[in-house]
Amino acid sequence: MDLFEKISSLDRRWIFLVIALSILIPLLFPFTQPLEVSPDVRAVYEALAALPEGSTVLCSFEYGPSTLPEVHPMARSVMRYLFQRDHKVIVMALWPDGLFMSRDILDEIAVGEYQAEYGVDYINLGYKAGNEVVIKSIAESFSRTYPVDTRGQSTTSWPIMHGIENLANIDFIFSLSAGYPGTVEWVQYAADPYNKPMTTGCTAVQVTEVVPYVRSGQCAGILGGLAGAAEFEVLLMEKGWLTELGAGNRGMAAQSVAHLVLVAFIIIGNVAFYVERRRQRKF
Amino acid sequence: MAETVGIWFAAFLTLAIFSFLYKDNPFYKFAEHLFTGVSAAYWMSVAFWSQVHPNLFGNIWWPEAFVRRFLEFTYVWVDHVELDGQIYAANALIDGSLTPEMIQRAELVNDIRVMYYIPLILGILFFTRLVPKIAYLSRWPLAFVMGMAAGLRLYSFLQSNAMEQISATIAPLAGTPTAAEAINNLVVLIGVFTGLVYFYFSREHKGLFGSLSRVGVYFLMVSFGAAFGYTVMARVSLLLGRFQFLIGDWLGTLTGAGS
Repeated sequence: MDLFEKISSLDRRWIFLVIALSILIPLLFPFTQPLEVSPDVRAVYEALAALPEGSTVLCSFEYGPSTLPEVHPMARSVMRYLFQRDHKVIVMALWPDGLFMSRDILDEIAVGEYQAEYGVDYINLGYKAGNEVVIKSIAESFSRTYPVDTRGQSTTSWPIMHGIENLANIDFIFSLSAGYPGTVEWVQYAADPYNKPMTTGCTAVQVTEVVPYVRSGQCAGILGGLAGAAEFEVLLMEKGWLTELGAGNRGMAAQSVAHLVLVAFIIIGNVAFYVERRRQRKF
Repeated sequence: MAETVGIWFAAFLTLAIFSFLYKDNPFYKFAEHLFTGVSAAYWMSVAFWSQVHPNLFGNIWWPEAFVRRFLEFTYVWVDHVELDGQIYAANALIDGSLTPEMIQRAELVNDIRVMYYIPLILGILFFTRLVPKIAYLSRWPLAFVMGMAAGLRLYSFLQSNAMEQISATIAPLAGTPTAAEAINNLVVLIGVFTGLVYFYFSREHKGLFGSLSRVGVYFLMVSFGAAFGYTVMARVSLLLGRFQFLIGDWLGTLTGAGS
């Protein structure tokens, strides 16, 4: 059995092992790699930077623990930027798990790092069932859709909600999304019909679904997957909003090595396949 | 302590799932069945308490005797409570303003919520599928859902997915700020046109038509490749997340560095 035959009949468990090691080794021996910020990530930053200080930003959490490694790093960066610029942040969730994700991020960033005041600098409205109907509903009234916040208090009693009757009073929408309902629904039911500027940070799987809205200008840029999160961190650091790179960049080294290994496997597998096929034709 | 136990159990389940990559085994089976059972229970509970209960049972009109029997749910069944000329919020029992004994004496004020019996009846009609003789009744709620969903989504889809996308596709091929932009617009035009040709099945794909269709296939393959690439990236990110948990949180409990 020559090399190409061996490759063709390679036990797939060797491939699993090599992929695992390609992730594990860079995690144990981390290194940083230069990242070039893509125009889509730059567009997200520019859309946020265009907001005057003290704007009201609606952040919707539409992801859960299964997609946490991808979306959490970008949620952290976005929240850090929003609080540094003194924006008012209204948080809500279209996924039940989104509530726990938002609590985690707000506890870490709003409370832990910026000592932001609940009800003044930010508010967590929590999860509401109804998918896109919730978006249509807040377009009419926040207080009717969310009579109480996650603390069980009347939403209208908090200073941050004074003057915020519906979507018309929101300056910007940021969707942190991993599927349905998510970014697509925010474009369809909020950004387009009410002419609201919005952008997104979503999982890599969603990128090809969302990119058409970005190209058409319906959504201002996109942070796609862990790479998008890492690029956004780099950009915020370039602009002086971050002092050190976060989880996005810590993961990117391992991700890049894993990608190189996968590409190598694809090339080797294809070469072996074509060599084998040529041999079979000869005989 | 409880957190440490949780981390160890999560690590065990993670490794049990990974063990399937070597071969099927009882640890994997245990983790798989546990995940399936817990997921089903979790989502059923979430669906009931976040959708069915607040949108239906919490709003529906209940006989007063029934409400007084289950006082712990007073806050979702009544609008407010009146006692000795004073008005209390519906959650007065929860926040401690009223005791169960006081609520028994109070007047439970409830808006007429008979309207909510309509979705309740429509919901029950779904289950008539289980009785073949009256199974046709299940079409009524289905018709309502279809009509409502179509009405809700039609306009948004037309605006966001049709009009805006067509408008974005009709881009200038000359007079653009850069030559690259003109080339990009040309590629979009060719991609959309040949892609549409591929999906036109009323004519045999041969000759010039077949060639255009083949170009459309190449564009489709590029888009599938991009989708596959992003999917691989997402899956590697998830694997990365698990390894970060194992190294950071789980091994951290051994070395004292983790949470």
